[in-house]
Amino acid sequence: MESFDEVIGARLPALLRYAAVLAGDRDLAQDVVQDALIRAHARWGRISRMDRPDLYLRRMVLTEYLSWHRRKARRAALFEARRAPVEHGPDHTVRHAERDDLWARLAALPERQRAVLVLRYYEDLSDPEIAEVLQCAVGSVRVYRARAFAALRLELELEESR
Amino acid sequence: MSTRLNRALAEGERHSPDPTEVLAGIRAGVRRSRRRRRFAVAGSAGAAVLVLAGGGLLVQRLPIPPVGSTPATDGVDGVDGVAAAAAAGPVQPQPCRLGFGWLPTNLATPMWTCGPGDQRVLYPMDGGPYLRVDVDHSGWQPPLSRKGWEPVVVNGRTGRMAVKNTRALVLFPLSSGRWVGLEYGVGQPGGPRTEKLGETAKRIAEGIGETVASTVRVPFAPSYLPRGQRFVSALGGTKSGLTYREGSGRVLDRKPVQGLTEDGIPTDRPTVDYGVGYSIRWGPTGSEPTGKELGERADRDVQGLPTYLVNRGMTVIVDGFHGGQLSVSLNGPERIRPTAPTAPPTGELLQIAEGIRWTG
Repeated sequence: MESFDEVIGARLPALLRYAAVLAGDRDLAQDVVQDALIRAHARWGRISRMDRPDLYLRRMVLTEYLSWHRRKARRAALFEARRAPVEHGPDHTVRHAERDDLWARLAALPERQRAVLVLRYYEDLSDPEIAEVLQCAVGSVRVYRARAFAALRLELELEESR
Repeated sequence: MSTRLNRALAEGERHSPDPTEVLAGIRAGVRRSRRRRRFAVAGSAGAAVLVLAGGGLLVQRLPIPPVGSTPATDGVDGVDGVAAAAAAGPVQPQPCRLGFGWLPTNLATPMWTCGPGDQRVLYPMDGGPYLRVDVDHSGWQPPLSRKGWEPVVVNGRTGRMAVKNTRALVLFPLSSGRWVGLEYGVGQPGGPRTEKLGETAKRIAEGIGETVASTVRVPFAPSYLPRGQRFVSALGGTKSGLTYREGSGRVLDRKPVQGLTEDGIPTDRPTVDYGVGYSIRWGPTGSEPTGKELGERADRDVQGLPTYLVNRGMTVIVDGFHGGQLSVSLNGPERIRPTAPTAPPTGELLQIAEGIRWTG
């Protein structure tokens, strides 16, 4: 049975990257991971007996991210940040600029749609696995993804990903 | 095509927080939750004392680096709490990231508060106008619409402004996304109306940026601080000071706490996780111990100098410390703890004061 400190020591950087991709914002990612791990510490006796405590921690981070009370303010902040003048110069290649544009559009997606894309394309989970993590039906996962692609204007990718 | 999405999502990794800061936040959070549980469980003052005594040892079991620790102090983890000196030691000169493009005349000597957790300046009312500017570090995004306030555009970004007879308040975002609170005033609240107060406040706001304007250096350093404290800011001007706190400084509850200025302007602010913190201040008095009774005399003197307790034991004053007065205060535990401690932490404050070293 691994201790809380051992698991955190080994997994924290990956959890932080995961939270950053999910949240798209350093401060929110920090809040989400901190709060999730503080709660995990309180229940570590139970979590440590699981087969894969690290996966459970990921789920806790996701749940924390999806928690309703954080959404409005952070989304408003992200939206404003996207609109704010860029202090540094533009990226020097078109490809980088396109990626930034896509990243900005990802940041504007609703949380569940964004979570589905992260779990599918960053975590490489299958639809049933995503459904289990999000505790919803497999069909709902597909609906979320379809809506996300529509919002991103990536219908062609949707067809290819099927 | 999905490669493009993979790459875009991977871009998000650059937003990864600093693991050291996160570990510090987790550690502080665990300490707070344990403290809350202790206060909830304790049914009597005696029981609370017992639980507090045991809690210090419990916290030691989590070997996460202390908040704001330096390499020299990381090794104290797991050792009995007596050895803890989390953020103690000299503080480097702190850059003040708050610059002004324009200021009105006749402002008094300012007090600067500069550090990683706080950037503010105060021009006290001393026969002239009054100006207070602070940059938010809690991540708060205030609502743009608020009764008693009007929208205002500062450098192309929308904020809000409220103006009364003697005070003008402006709340606006900088290009970094941080919000600035600005209060400009002429005369005492309730006094006669000052013309163009709002225009002056807006002009000051339009010149504000996060450029390094100056640095603050403090002529003393603590050699002891309670475990878990991290450095927040240094104070410079007519007084010198250092501020430490245990909390993350981030917003705990975005539902604003509402208030009213003396001039009748409605204010709102979020609840921020400050946790238990300490302020150390020193100001010159131009003489050796003043000999005045500054409060209740403490049980023991600090560094051989007359020592007093004020504010119900929440502040310790050492009179005559290097030609001035040294004070150590406890800050804000009531925001975190559900119950106030049964006794003021006088011993802790005296220990901090005893450990202050003059660096000149």
